Amino acid sequence: MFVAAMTSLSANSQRELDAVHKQVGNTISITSAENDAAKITSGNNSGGNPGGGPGGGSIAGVGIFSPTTIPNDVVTKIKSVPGVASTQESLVRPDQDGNIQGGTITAPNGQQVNAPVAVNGISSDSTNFTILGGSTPTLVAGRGLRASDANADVALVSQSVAQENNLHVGSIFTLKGTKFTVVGLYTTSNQLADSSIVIPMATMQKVFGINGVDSITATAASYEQADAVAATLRKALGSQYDVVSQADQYTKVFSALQIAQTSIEVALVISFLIAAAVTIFAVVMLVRERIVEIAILRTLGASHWQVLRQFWIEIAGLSATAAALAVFLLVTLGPFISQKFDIDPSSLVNNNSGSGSGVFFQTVGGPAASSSSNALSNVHLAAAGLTPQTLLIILGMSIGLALVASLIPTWFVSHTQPARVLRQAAA
Amino acid sequence: MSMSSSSPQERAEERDKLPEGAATEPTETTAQVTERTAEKVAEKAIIVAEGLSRHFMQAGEVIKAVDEVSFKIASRQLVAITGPSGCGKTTLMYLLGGLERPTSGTLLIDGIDVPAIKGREEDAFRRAKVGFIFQSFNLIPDLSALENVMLPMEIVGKGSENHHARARRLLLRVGLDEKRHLHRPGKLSGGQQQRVAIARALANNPAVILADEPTGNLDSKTGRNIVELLSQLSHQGRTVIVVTHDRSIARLADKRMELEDGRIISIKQNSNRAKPNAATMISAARK
Repeated sequence: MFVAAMTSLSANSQRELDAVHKQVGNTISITSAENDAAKITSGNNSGGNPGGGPGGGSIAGVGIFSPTTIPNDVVTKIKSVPGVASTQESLVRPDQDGNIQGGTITAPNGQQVNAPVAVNGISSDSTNFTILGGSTPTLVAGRGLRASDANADVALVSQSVAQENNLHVGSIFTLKGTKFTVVGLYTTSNQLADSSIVIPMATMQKVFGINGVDSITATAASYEQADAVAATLRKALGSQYDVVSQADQYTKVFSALQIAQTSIEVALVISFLIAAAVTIFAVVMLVRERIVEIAILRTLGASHWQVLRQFWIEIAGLSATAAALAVFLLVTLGPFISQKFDIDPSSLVNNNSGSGSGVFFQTVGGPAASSSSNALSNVHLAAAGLTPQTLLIILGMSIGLALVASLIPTWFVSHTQPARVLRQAAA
Repeated sequence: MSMSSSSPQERAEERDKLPEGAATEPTETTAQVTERTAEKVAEKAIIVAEGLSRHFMQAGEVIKAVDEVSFKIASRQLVAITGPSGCGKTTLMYLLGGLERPTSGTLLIDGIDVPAIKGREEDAFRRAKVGFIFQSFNLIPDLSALENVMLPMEIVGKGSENHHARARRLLLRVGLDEKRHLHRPGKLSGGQQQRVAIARALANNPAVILADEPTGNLDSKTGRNIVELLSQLSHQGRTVIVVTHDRSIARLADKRMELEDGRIISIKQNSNRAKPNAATMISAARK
């Protein structure tokens, strides 16, 4: 049972490891190094200046931190680094004018708060983009931004913000003194991201008076190249910027999964050896105890095969019973064993290494509620249970061990001298 | 090498006719017929040993367990092999049963060159030609009395539908009550276990019964009954060879071979062998 559970878990951990590799992908996040220190300051004191420099504000108990931007010339430099296949710039600022109402969200401490509206600047020719560090909007009405919208005062508005402010496609609203026309509505799977507006990057920089972006997500041509491209970017940009590949962020998840996998494999080998040793020992004892019976059967004229057949039938019966027991134990104890080997990815992801988004929301006095969605938060080892795979393993193990164990009576029967055994039994 | 041409079932039926007649109708005529038949058959030797030896190496020393023994045993005889402990009695019995191979010499049993047979022929010889009875009974503890008797028949494998009936008949014949047939050996007394062992030895109707100290673990009264039973078997047409310390068995034996240091020091014919009477036979069989 344990062997089947371990094999199942080993396969699961390998699957999860592959899934993490796939999810991590080939992106590299670039932010200003000053943000690390600024975030710490912001955590202690949520007041500040919502503008181009480090600082923040507080709205209804939700602290807002605005990071140091990456100037446009650096953005150009990043785009020209060899190996960078594409980039996605991100610039996010809260609307603190109060003209646009955000949706109501539940803070991590359970408090209902009125979320600020996050204004996201994106490249106007982006067909796929994420906001607030990972949420991918789904267009539900109107259209997306076009290259021709580069400097236009047009906006995509989240459906919840649109409902809150009675906006629809074609509506006009004012942001920082500029009138924007709603060209599309979207939804996201994240309640923070659902309280947002998307406008063209150039328009955003103009309206907010910012010469740069909060962060850039560079994409390497492949996962294998990501580390090399990240190294080139670090060299090109110097220590002023944090260059973090997504693989770096999930180093601990990888490590934990690999440790889990190694542990499972070691447990698998040990449990297999124990199962084999116990089975062989049991069969040796069974045969040794019945050595006189073997001698009697041989004395009565039973052939080697007739004696062996009897033991093989018994071993097959034992193996079948053991397999049935293993199935039962796997069904009942499998989830418990899985739990013992499981990992907690949320506690392992390197949250301090930057994110794709430039705005961080924090509840006052509560834990950090990074808006960067953690794609790996649901990485768990699947419970070891009865599957076709584990059933085959149990059957295979039973048959394999039965075959190995059957060699024992074979040896004993072929080496038993009835006369000697009967003499010893009589003595 | 050839085995008997008649089937075990046919031979069983032939041999089983005598005891049933003896046990139920012990008339003078039947006894006379039986005696005449026995004398006629006795002239033919069923076991012929010539220079039979079995040596062992122990701590670099050659132990001559059986050393150059020669003898002939006629069919339907009860032969007692006696001698002190370690004189080679049991080794000789194992040689006769094909459980050990002689170091040298020849041994013919019912026309079969025993040292020459191997593998399947050896198994077939033990199945068909000899039946063993041991001092410690050597019954399979997990099987009932009936199943123990059926075991040699199951090993032969043919006519399994008759095994149960034949095993039941044999157990009744050796005097084990039907109510004990389904008892396991652990639930039976020593005498009852030895009766089961005798019935098992008879299961495939062998020509030769080899008994190694069959009374060794029994009290004297039960031992006498068992000896009576073995004596009956020889009268019923089997050659019974009993290895024993018990000199009283010799009183019933046709021939007594005395061994010392692996050699036969005397072979005595007992012309005044006591014949078990019908009443004793029935009594012994029913106890």
